[in-house]
Amino acid sequence: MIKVTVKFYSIFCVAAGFCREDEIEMESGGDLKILVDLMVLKYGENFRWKLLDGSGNLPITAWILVNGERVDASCFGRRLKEGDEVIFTTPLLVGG
Amino acid sequence: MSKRWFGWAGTMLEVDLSAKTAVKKELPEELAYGYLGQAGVNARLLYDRTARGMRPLDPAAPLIFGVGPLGGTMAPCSGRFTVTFKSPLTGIFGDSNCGGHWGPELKMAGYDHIIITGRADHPVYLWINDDRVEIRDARHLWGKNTWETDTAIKQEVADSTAQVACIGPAGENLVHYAAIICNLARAAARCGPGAVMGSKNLKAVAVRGNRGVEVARPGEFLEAVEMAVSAIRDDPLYEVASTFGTTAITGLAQMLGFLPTRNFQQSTFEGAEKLRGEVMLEKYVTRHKGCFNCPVSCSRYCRVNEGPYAGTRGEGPEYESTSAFGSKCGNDNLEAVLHANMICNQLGLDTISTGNTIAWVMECFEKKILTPEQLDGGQLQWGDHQAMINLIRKIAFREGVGGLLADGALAASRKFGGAGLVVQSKGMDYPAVDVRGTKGMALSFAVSPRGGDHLKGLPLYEVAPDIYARDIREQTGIEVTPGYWLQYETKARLMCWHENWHCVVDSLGICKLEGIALKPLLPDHFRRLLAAATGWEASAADLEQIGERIWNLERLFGVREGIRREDDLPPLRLLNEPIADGPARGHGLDREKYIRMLNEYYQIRGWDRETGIPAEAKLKELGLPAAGEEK
Repeated sequence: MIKVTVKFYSIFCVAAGFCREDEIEMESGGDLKILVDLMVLKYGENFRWKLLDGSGNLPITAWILVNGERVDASCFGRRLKEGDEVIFTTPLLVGG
Repeated sequence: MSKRWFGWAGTMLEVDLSAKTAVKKELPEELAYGYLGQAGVNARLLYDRTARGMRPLDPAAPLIFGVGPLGGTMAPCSGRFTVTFKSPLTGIFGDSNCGGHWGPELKMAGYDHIIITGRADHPVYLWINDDRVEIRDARHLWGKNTWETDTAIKQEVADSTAQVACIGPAGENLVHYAAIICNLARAAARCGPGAVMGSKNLKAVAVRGNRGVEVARPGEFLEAVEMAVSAIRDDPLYEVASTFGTTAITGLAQMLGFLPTRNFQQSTFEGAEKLRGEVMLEKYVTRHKGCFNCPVSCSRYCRVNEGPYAGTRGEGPEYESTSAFGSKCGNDNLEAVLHANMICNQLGLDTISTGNTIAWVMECFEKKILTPEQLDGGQLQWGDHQAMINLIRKIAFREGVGGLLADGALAASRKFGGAGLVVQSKGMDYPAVDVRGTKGMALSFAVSPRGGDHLKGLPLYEVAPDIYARDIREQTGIEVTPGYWLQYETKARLMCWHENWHCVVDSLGICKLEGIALKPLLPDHFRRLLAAATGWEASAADLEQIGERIWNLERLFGVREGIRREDDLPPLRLLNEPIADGPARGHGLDREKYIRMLNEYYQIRGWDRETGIPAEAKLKELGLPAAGEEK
């Protein structure tokens, strides 16, 4: 088993019931797709619809960062390792 | 017979407080068609009526309120107004844009602009009730805060729906960054319009309008409105904007490493987690709130129920205020931030300049440039929120050291030292973006005609290139790649486009906060709305040229007061030091590349490369007076 730190920002934080940070235990060798499925299982379908479009791709409003590096849906097969940090967020707004 | 106006009310109100007169005049057509309205017409009126070197608080200095031709109509987000004046903080062009409901009320009373000059011999307020205009005694209101004033005036005019734009003690005491507040929390704050109002002994401008706004082609206008509303609702970031407003930025700024911390010494804050918009929404937000005719409703009411700040309530804070009283001051107590925001609204202070000034004092104290004796026997350590709040009050009332800080950090540094630690451009304090990682913003903030400022250029496209790649290509011809914000190339062109169009947006009367304008709403939306509202078929190119004219005019105002190329550089700290911490560590502004970008900007603008003065040919093309030509 490995432990991965998951952080939620913006509307993903709301969809996760205002959880801002969570530690997820998953099977060794598990990939990003498995983590996403675990998130959906834990936080419900609303979380899925915020994160994935009908084709299972990331909409432009959903960013996933693994250890600070932004990834897209083609990276869902990326294996995670102990201590990885995965961030779910929207892009930036600016304003006053 | 006077012209029948659509969109515009067609009337300006000229108030001379010394002579106690209020005279209505027809809006000159050449102003409406040459500068649109609101910010643009205000700028031209200010330029023409301000002599070079006039003191900002001189009785003759004009204070100009304006609404645009779309203000108060059914166009979405049309609740804005602009106040324009010579800034007491910077000594150059000053204007401030504000939401809420005051602007539409002025239009519905039948006015596009109010031009106020003179100084009343005792405190007064202006009461505009459609055609009827009264200069009323306000001696009993002097000393009251903005919330008390709002309530008292509504009782006096016996109309709870009247809209009141007023100053608090900070404006009365001529704090150079005092705000004008309406709807208790909407602030025309930057550059210090509240001090100009205070210098005229003018406590408030209260308005009630019952005339409505007439548009030229109602059916077509409604179609244009529906199209604009759909664009806003369909925007990919609509949910974020309507859920959090600007407060979502706090967490994201920390995550990406551009959250100004401890007076811009760091770019991440170890206490940022406690300041996030998500925390504010979960613990303190009681309901959402929108300005006039806004489908986004990005603002929020907050309340603190427990602890030392129990009883704190009201609208806001925005991201800027959260950073000003949070990370910039090393303070992770969100309830203190909410309280600081509330008292700034009550006292009538610009939260950005207030927070920056206090952060500068904290750094000066840390570096022993300021001693406890100079701070009236007190201390001001990073994160000391009680001391921070005490200092806000002292600034508003000019008590002790607050009297010096009330003139701004740059002015105070002339007495105390520490000028190099003031993060400012042209005398105005920087907003809460560490621009070292966003090269276009670095340029945009530095060249702004009103000084260090994120709202004049507001280069949204730079920070969300993948979302708006198609728009950027279609509007500007620029192809963007991931990480576009880090590059210098094409930024001069992008900024000129943003600046021109934001001048248009600020002159039409539409909100650009939350990126309403130039994100979901594009030039074609503005063209359609304006044509149907006014009956004037201006092309997008016509509008962009008007924007360019306004931008150049605001620059000319600065040039007349001595602004030159050397004033278009970022603050020393940001130009000379790379980011010291966090994910953006090591990113800095390369001076040579910045200079190349600035040169390209001047070239596109048609400004002299050596001086930064708009060239005669450009001014002629735009129908503007030659630089140095006195009015």
